[in-house]
Amino acid sequence: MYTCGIDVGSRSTKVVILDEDSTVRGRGWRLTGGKPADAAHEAYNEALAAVRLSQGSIDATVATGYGRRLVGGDVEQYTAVTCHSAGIYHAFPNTRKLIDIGAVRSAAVKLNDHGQVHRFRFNDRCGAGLGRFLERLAETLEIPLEELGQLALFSRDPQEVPGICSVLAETEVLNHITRGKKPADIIRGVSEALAERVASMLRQVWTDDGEISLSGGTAKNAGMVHALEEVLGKPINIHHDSEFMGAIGAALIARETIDKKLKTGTSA
Amino acid sequence: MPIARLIESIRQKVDDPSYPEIAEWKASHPGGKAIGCFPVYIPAELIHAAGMLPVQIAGAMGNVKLDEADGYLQSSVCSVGRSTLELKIDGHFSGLDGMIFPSVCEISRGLSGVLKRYDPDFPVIYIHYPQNLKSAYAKDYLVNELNRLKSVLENLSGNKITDEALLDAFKLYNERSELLSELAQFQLDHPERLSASESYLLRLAGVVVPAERHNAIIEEALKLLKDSGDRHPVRLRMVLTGAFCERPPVEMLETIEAEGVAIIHDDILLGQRWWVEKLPLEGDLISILAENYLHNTVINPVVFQPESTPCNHTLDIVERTKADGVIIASAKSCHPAHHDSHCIVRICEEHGFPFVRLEFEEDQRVFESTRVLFEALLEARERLPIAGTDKGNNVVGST
Repeated sequence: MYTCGIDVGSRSTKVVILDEDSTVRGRGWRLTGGKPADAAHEAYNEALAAVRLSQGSIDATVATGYGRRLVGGDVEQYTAVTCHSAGIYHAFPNTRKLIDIGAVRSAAVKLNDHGQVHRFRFNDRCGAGLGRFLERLAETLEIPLEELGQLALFSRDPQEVPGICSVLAETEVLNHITRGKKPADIIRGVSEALAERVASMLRQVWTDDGEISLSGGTAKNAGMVHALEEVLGKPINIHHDSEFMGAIGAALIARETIDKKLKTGTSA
Repeated sequence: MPIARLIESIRQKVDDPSYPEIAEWKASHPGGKAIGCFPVYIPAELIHAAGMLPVQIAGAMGNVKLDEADGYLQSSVCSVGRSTLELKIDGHFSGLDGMIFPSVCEISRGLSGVLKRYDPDFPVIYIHYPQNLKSAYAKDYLVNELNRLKSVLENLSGNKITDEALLDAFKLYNERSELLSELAQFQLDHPERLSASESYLLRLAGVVVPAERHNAIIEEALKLLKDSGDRHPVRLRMVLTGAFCERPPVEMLETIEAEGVAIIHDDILLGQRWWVEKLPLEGDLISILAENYLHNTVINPVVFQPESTPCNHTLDIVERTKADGVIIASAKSCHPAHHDSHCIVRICEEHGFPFVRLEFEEDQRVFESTRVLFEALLEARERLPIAGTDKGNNVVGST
């Protein structure tokens, strides 16, 4: 049995195919761009090719992410909160607090002992707690996004950046550049501001128990993870497939729907 | 006419910020004057008895652009405050002959002052309600205040407010209370036939048409509803609280309902349903108004009632209606709503009620976050538990 999860995020589209043991067998990845449906289709084909399967071999598919409604076919849809929670709980069953920093929406989720969403909070209208801000920072500093995190770890003199508003933060970044501050120190300052913003969101949804896990592409940013661990005073679980966690969760939910149908005797 | 068509015709009217009904009313009442009433509650009975048209002002619902009002008011002022001033600046209040502001919050107080300075010739009346309802002097104080208002209205209208006219007004507004109670009960009992957004639109009609016509509309709607079929899927029944003053966009409610969440009880346009019981029709009528303000007011965040706070009231409503949860919808920068929202959250947590907390503005046009909030809430409650356990309760979502 194979199930598929498609996570159409605002920056990138991720697809995974899970086998019967819920092990990831294939992955597909595309920049979402202006044609989310095309990105989903291409990433899906890439995942199928990776596991040498045809479309007919997939027993159920669930789509998530902001562009989930654009995925055609017989595909159920779930929100990113639900899918990231399912994925993270599968990867780290002791997780009770999940942080998902997406490009355009961040979420703090409290899970109960069974991995169910118990409480969640989205970022408010401001974009200061979002992955997209890190992208803008990379563009401004002309540094590849993938290198931001490592560079922040070399900072010796972090520069203060306001975390309330992304526009004001960007202005302050430009001020630091014109004052000749080192990119590493600027990135570190931005990471700390972002971490403070996210931590404030987290404090409103949970108590102190259980492990914390970070989901989404930002988890690959070592500087951001370090800043978050410092602010929260706790280690954070990072999975090597963190960027695919929404898609993994979606594929796990696809599996649940099959199990449910088998239980109730309806056709899968 | 089917109920859907009646509601759609109201939607078109309430989107017009120029209050065309005032001109129509004045044409049929030569020499008649219209008085704007800022929310939450103004004794419309007195205005009506003076032979004037009470016009419920509650912002512009996003139908005017806030060009100049922001130059007079700080950004922390709620949208209804800013848009009310913009309506005046843009000339949409040209049909009004005055406006009354109640002592419900600092915005109402400040705005009355700004309007006075902006147009010194425009009569602005401020009514002070007693803050301590338990005081032995509260009733006498309010009787004096209502008599002061009565004199001001008599001077403005040139008409004496007679007992006979006031009694007629009591009867008219009692009838409206009764009809709106019936509508609220239908919304509670049959959310699959009457959604909250439809009920809200039916109530909104009372903002733009005189009470006599509003009563006729509600009466017709109730008749049509009795013969209507199911039109709205219901997956979850929730109570909405916190929107008692600034009007939430109708589209916000429709977004929530589109997910299958029925709002079976709400506090929108609360001023229309101010009295719990009908006003008595015998005795000194001004004293009756004062007495009822002290003892017969629906529980709300702008009248301090220590034994019956909006928090306890929310608990009572959820238990009485057997609702599945609470939507705490506060207007941005509405201090009374935000103040109460904290204790409503606490009540929900203590009793295990699922709740969603969100903030709105009357001119909001994008509701994607609202939609995702409710989708996630429903998923958390309905999807198969991962570990094969029972469904999670007390699911909480907020922006």
